[in-house]
Amino acid sequence: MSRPAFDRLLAVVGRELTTVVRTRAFLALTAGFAAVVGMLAWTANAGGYVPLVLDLLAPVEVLVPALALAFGYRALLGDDERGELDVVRTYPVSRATFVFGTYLGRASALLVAVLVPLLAVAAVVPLSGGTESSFLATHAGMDSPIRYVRFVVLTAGFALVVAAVAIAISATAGTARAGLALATAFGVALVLGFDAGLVAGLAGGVVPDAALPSLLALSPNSAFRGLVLETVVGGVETGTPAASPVAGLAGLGAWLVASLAVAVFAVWPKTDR
Amino acid sequence: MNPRPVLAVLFAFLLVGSAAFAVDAGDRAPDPVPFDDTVTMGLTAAATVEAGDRDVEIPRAEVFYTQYRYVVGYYGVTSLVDELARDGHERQFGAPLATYVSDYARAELRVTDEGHLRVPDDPDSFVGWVPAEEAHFVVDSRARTPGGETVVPFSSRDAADDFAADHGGEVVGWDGVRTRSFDTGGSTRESFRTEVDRQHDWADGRVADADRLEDRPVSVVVGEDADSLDAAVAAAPPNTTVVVPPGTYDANLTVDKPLTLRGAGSATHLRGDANGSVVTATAPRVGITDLRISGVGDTLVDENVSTDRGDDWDYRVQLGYGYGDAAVELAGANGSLVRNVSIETPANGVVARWSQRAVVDNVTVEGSDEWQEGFMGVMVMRSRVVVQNSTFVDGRDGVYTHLADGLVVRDNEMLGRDGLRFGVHEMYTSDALVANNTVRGADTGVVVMTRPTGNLIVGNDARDNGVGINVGGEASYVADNVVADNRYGLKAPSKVSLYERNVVAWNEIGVRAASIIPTNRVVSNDFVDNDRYVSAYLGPLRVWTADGRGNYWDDAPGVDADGDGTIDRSFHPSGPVDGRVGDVPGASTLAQSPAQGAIRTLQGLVPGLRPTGVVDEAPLAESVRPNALVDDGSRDRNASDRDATDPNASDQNA
Amino acid sequence: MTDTSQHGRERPSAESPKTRALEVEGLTHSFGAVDVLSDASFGVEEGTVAALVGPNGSGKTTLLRAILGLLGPDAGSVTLPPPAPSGRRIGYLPQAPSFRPAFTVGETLQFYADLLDGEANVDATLDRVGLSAVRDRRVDALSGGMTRLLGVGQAILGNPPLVVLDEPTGDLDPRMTEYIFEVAADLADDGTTVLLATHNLTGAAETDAVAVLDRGRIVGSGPPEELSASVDAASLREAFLALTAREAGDDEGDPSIRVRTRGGDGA
Repeated sequence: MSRPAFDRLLAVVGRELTTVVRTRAFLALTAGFAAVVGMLAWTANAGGYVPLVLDLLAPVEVLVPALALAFGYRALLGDDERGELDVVRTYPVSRATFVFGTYLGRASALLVAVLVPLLAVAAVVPLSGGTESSFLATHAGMDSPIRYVRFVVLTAGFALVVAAVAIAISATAGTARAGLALATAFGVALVLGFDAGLVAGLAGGVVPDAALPSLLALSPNSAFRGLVLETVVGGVETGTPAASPVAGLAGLGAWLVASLAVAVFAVWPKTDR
Repeated sequence: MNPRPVLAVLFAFLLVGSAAFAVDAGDRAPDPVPFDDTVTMGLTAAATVEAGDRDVEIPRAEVFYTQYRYVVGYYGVTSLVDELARDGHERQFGAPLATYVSDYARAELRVTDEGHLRVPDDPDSFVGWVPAEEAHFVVDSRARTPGGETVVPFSSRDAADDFAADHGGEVVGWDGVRTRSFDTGGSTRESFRTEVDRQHDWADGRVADADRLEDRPVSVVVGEDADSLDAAVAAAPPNTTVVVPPGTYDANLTVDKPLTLRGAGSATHLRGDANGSVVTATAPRVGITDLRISGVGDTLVDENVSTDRGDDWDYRVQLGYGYGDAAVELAGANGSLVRNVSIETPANGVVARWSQRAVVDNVTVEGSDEWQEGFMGVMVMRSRVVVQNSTFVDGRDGVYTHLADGLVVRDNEMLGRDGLRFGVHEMYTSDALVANNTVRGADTGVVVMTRPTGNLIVGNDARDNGVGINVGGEASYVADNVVADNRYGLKAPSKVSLYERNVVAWNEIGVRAASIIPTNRVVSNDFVDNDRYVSAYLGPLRVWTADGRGNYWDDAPGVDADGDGTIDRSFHPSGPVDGRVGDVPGASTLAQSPAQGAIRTLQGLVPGLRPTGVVDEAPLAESVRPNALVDDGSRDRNASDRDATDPNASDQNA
Repeated sequence: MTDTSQHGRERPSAESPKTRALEVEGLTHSFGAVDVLSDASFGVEEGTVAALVGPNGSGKTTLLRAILGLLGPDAGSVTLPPPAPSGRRIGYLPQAPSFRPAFTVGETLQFYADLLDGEANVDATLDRVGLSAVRDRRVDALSGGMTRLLGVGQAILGNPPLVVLDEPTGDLDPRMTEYIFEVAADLADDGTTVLLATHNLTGAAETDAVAVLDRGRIVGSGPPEELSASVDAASLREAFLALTAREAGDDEGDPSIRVRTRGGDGA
């Protein structure tokens, strides 16, 4: 990426960040997410980093896509509706730069919104006092903040992937209504649809058992869940691996790349000028 | 807005955070800690106290688990090996992170004639720790602990070979030890049931033996053939019956030969002088039947006793508990019988000291009104006896046992009208059967203390007590009991024990889970209408589910959609929402919310790292013993009316 | 109603060499069965202001979008001037300019400036469109006219050689309208070529050239006076009405009134 192109990218990123920071709805969503995570961590009284991960995993699987889609689905769509995309096209900025900058901006804001609460609630673990008896020797076992950091990093990755999908939706949808419908449909598919499809496939015999690990990787939520269980709880729970980490990473990576590619190609048609 | 700082911070976080995947997440093996700082398992208090008293060395082990925050210390490598192999062990503790065993390579171990290990009191001898994977174990040697067979670990192969050469056995590695089983752990349900039957059979046999004491020919009738009780006993030849006709007799009697002393029921009244015991049997096979006894002395602890047992580790206990005044004192009276005797006593009713196979049957003991002033209905000291069909009213404890391994206490009734501390109180007593007793109004119905093992507490009915049943120790079986209307239904400080088919109803707190080390198996119990299901302190989250089946919680929300008999939703009886479903309106609606479901989904995954509490992953959809409380309703009325014993008054709904 | 003589600006003389900054040839475009542009051709000379006029629905916006490259025509070609050093070739004011509401006027222009090669002078641009005073006002607090001025500012940012303004004077008050035309004339004086679509014939009459679009065809083009003269009209307004008159059967129009029709004109 040449230097001027990178500056343009930063300009687009900065514009998105400013937009998010100055939009009350985003701030409310962020505060809501933080409140939910905080309450869950508080009421779960997990007592350890790994239990905290397990308590947060399911809610995060639902809330992070919701937040990501809310943050992203109107990014390009709004510019399009206002006619600003047409204006932008009269500037020497490539589709890729503009889309990627928009994505980076929204995704950065999303990451801040997701990571800050997640890192903050980790503080409840040492604060909760841990074990009760002072006259007995205690140790952490496999519980370690490092495992929690793994979870947070994986959550960041998951958020980046869903944000990419959101950007793709915002690039392809023609109207705000269509964008909302697409985002909602995709959110439901993430949380329920893909996995339900797999379950149905397994039940109906369409999906062979052997293909399950690879197919799981195709659903971003399952890939994320599998990666968390494998890298955070893995080595603790013996037995069948929760998922194949490589397949999970590949699956998430594919969603990321494909979504951004769709966004780039869909944001406006390629022109010569 | 300048995005550079934000991007830089995020990028840096992701970069640094990704390193978390590369580094070892706290799986490094910790160093050993002093054994006193561990949570211990294996061996009873009787065995460890005896070992300590006699300087017997017990090979130990300590384990750091991935999912348990305390270091677990094991008395005996044997108990570690058995515990590692226990079903559900890994579920609750995770995998061992580090395992250390005693290292005797430089201990200059001696082995006594009894096979006990002894480490010389010599600055050069030293017992260290060695990782189990690196240790060499001598198995099948003649070395023993007070608890039985033992395995002796060494860090050096040569030291292990030397030990095996001197004391027999063979040297194996950690894997070799782990394939073995030493029978120190908890039993299966089937073997517990078999043990219950065997104990009943044993007791039946003892009662049958004792029955024969009532068939002895009459040799002397007091008042006809002899002027006094003492004269009658002196005159009667062994193995005959002395008949005591109705009337009141001043008595301070010692029976020193195998005689049966038979009255005519409560019309025959032996009256002591309120000083010492009334009847003392010092010979085997003495029968004391069909009498009323009063005038017992009020000495609880006789300061003037001295015996030749001063070397026993429990000598002070013997003196403190075994020599108080009693209506009937069995001292070395093996195979004796006390039957159909009603007793009023400010101290003990019956004392059985070194009197194996004695039977106390259908005895009524009225103790002191204030339990602090009285003593035991039956005080059992180092004797395996049968106590059955008897009624104990007030006093301190209905039945107190000290080192009475294998005794049977069944079908009795303990009633605290004015005061009663414990219905049945086991001390240093293993393998006992406490069955079908009814306890009312005690501080605790049945209590098992001092870390014994293998006790069977079955079919008892404990109501209106402070605590229904409180079982400590290991490898015990608490089943088919009904605990109702107590402050605490059950207290469970025990380890590796099985709690099943108990009905826990109408208590303020159903169960107090009090063991720091969560190894009890608690399944197929009914929890009905307690103010709180459970309270837990110490230790981590306990999973009360085994083989896909848990317990019945009357208000557990959820449905059994797949018809497998369990509710398709885990239940967290110690949790803030589930714990309130029974009494807070709306809690059960809240409990069904997806948010609760989301939180609960993975809750049972690492129980050992969670704060204390109880979770049941497969709550039962139907009550296990739906009629237990209904049947007992009628019995409950009878129990409060009657003053005689009712041998059928037990819950046989097993 | 507007006194365009105040512009005080010399029209390029007829003799001066004329370079076409914009050349539109044979543009044809249809949305489904509806022909929006039919063989539309015209050119705009460098450094001039050209007005594109036409009734509602005549295809003005479509023509502008085709020029901008925002839609690919079915046929025909558009020739544009080479880009400015800023990398911008063509500036664009949409019919209803709109910006992210949470941004200030200055930030909005700065964002666009940051997309250009080199530094664009945002302050000078604000000065030029008369928005310096509201530099720090949020976009959602601007009046419609100010928003349009901001749009103009955006359109001229980076000094593109060609600026396309779609209805820059729509719903503006007379003073503001006049101001817009002044700005356009200013730009032309600086060598920028301005193509504006407008309904304001008074303003259009003061431009250097006018193209009349009707039903997707250029029905007349040329300097306003020539255009009026060509149809014997006293004013551009009359010329416009004459050129866009709806009469049965005149779909083909009257070739006699075409000042400059495509066909053999060549480029």
